[in-house]
Amino acid sequence: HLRTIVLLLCALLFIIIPSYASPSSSSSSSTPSSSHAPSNSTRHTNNWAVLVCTSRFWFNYRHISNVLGFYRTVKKLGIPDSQIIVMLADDMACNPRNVYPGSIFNNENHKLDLYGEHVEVDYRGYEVNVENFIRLLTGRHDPSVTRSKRLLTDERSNILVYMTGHGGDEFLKFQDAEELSSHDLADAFAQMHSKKRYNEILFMVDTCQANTLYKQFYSPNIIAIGSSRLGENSYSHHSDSDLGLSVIDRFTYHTLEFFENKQRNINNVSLLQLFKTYNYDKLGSHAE
Amino acid sequence: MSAPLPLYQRRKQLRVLSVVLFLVGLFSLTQFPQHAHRTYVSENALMPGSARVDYSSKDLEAAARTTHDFIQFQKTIKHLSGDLPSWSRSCAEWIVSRLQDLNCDLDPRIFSYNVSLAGRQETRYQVYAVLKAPKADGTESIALTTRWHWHHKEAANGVSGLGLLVSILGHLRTSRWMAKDIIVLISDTDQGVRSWLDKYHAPHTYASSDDDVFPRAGSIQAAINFDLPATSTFDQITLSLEGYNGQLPNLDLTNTIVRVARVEGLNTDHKMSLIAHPAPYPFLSSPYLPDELTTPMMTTLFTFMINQAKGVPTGPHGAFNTYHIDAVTVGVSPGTSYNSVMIGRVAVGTLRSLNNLLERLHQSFYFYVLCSPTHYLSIGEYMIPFGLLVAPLLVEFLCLVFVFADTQVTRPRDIAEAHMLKREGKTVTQGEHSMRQLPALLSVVCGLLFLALGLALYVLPLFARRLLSGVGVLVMEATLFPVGYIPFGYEIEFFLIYVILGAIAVRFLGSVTRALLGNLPIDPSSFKLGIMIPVAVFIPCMSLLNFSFCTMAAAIVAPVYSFLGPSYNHKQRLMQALALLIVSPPALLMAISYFGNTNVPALMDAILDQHLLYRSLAYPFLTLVYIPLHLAACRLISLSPYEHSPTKKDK
Repeated sequence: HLRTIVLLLCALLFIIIPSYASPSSSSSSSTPSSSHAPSNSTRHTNNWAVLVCTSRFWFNYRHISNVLGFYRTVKKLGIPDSQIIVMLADDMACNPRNVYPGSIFNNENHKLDLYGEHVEVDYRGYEVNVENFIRLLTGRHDPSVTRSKRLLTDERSNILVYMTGHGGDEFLKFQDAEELSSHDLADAFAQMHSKKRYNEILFMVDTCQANTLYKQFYSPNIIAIGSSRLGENSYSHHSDSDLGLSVIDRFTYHTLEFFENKQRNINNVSLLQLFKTYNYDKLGSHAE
Repeated sequence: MSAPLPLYQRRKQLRVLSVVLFLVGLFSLTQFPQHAHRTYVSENALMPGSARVDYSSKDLEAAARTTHDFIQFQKTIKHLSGDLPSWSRSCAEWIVSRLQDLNCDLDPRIFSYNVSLAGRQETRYQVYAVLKAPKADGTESIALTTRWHWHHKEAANGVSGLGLLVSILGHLRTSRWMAKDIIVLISDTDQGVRSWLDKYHAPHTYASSDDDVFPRAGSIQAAINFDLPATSTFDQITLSLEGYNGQLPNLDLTNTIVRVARVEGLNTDHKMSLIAHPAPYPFLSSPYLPDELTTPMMTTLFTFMINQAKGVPTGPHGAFNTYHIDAVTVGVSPGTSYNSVMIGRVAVGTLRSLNNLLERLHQSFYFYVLCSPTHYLSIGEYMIPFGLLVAPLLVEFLCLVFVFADTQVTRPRDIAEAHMLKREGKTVTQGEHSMRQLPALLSVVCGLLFLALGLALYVLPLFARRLLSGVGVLVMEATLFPVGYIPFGYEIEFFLIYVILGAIAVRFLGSVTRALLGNLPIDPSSFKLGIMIPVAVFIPCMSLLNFSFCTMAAAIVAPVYSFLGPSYNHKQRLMQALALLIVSPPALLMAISYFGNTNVPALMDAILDQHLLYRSLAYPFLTLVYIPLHLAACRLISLSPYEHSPTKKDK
């Protein structure tokens, strides 16, 4: 009798203690965390960026300029081209409707041509689809795919994933032909985690009802921020009367502006400071 | 006689119900403006008004200069006014030279076509040119059309359609946003657009010489026609939408023009109209009508519906409907509210917006009714009053079908037996039911015989037209219609002809009926069923195509013809005869010609012409459906109601 009780108690202890010892998973956190904890900084060695624009056609000009703005900022802040994957439909600069052929602007003052030189687009035109995106994240490519199209990350990489386009409740529309669902995205990140393809991910998404896209994430070490809640639209910032359309979205505009202003002391910037710059009055939606 | 069927008892209640529904339908027509929705742009790619328009007073000066020069040129060739083809050709050549001065790449061409006016065939000339977009791939285009007139009123700095298009071409020469080619067509008649379009879309053989070259620009996505008097200021912009047989362009085209005008500073609520200037139907604003029916929205709605019912396009843009190209006509009414530069800016702004399209307009409505350029009702809503108006007709039709089904116990054996018994000379003593099968079925067929009459009426004038031409027509007119100098002479003569020919036709069909039925009595309900089949099929089906015409037809046909039938007393018969007189085809044609300020022969001619040109519904309805219906109804009310009893013999 006594022996059985002792054995049971030991079994219970073995069950309870490990459950307390396992690390709590930080899934989609809506509260901003502080900057990287000191214990992680020794593991993080390289940065990557995946910038995806999921729209095509002339009236979605602002999505292309969103991504190209991010591309320029990310390059300026130090990530090299070899570690940036850009997916664009790329049908704006040479569109016959463009009064500035060969140029793409994200501001109506036209001071900055985002499509000048040294723009490396890795996935162009109809290659921007859900299959290629998932393959990119999970690393499962056909052997013939070139190195420049692969996300060659390891467990010490921090990745910025930025997506923009038209979206809705738990989906993102890819080029009027298909959709990426939040479940598929969460599963892709889970594969990345199990294959040790990232250290931390910052997932930013600028679409209508963007916050629903990261609702299903269940992998650790991902911070996600979307530009609007369920039922809210994300608005464009301003339109250009020369081109005849909107050239940038508000969420992206304020994000890029934040980074432009913080260039001098970029090493001491935290995500919390970025999150504090978003407010409903400027954006017209709740960025969380 | 057997006990009356339950349906007869309920029939009176059903009739009351259908009268109530009809009146509600009429009333709801007047409620359209209150329930109309504001229009919205469905196609996201259009983005009307978001691009700045650079068309300026400099371009307007060029337009005014072209207009002035053209009017001066027309004065110099006044001596050709007797010979219209030469005049046409000289004007076309002048326009070609002007376009060539503008831009050497334009390659303007003269397109000659044949038009039959006043019975004669003539050759006329028109000019067209294609402005190619330098960066585009030339597979799509937008068409701009206009007409030149023979006598322009000279106005200082006036801008006509010709001047406007030439200035737009000059302005677009330096624009960098063109993704589609621009086709410019400058014609001298409305038929010119139709001939040009037919040639454009016809499969063609290769050109045998340089003169045969017909530059094309891919598929035309949309077309805008300008109908401008030579003014330098204007009061309102007018939009005309109705095309062949009341077909309408996609509502997004109208929405784009309205929004671009709004961005340019036009007060679209008051300074934009759907009624062309001068107002085509002055009786709509007559002081005898109650106030609620003469508000601007009601007047616009009625004008819209009458235009659609007529089936005649309200501008040369109607020709584009045949090829599924959305087209409108933009005009102005004279006044001093705005400078004509705004028309140029609206035109270029609309072009820029249409330029953004990736495919043809397809998001917005094709079937709608407009109370103003910014208020619409879609087919889902306007069909409800129509359904109410048709209710008497359909309720009666269904009642007759039930009655027919009740009597029709289809057993060929019974029919054969009845025949055998008759041949043997025995009286038929079987029950009422089996005796009613045969006459019921045959009565339906007798009713349908009138449809054959309708077919003959439809086909014969077409043949006669082809056979008679020129002198033949004159001779016919001289012999048949010599009474123009008597007041109402045409009308009386037409009425008499109708009565005489109608009686002959009914007599003829009556003898055919007797041959079919033999000694069997004619069954009035089944006869009525037979004559109502064409109209009950025509009106609902055609309403999908031309809603306004079928609404008006239903408003006339439904209340009268639903409640006709053989009656018991003479007073009822007299009232029915009177009702039939009021809605008889001659009376209707007389009423229409009175409101249209024309006479009956001209009206009949016009109806036939319009059907041949535009597939409008007035002619088929009149010949195939209405005249047979009316004649058959006259026959119907002359039947005695006791004739369905098998014990009484047919007279």
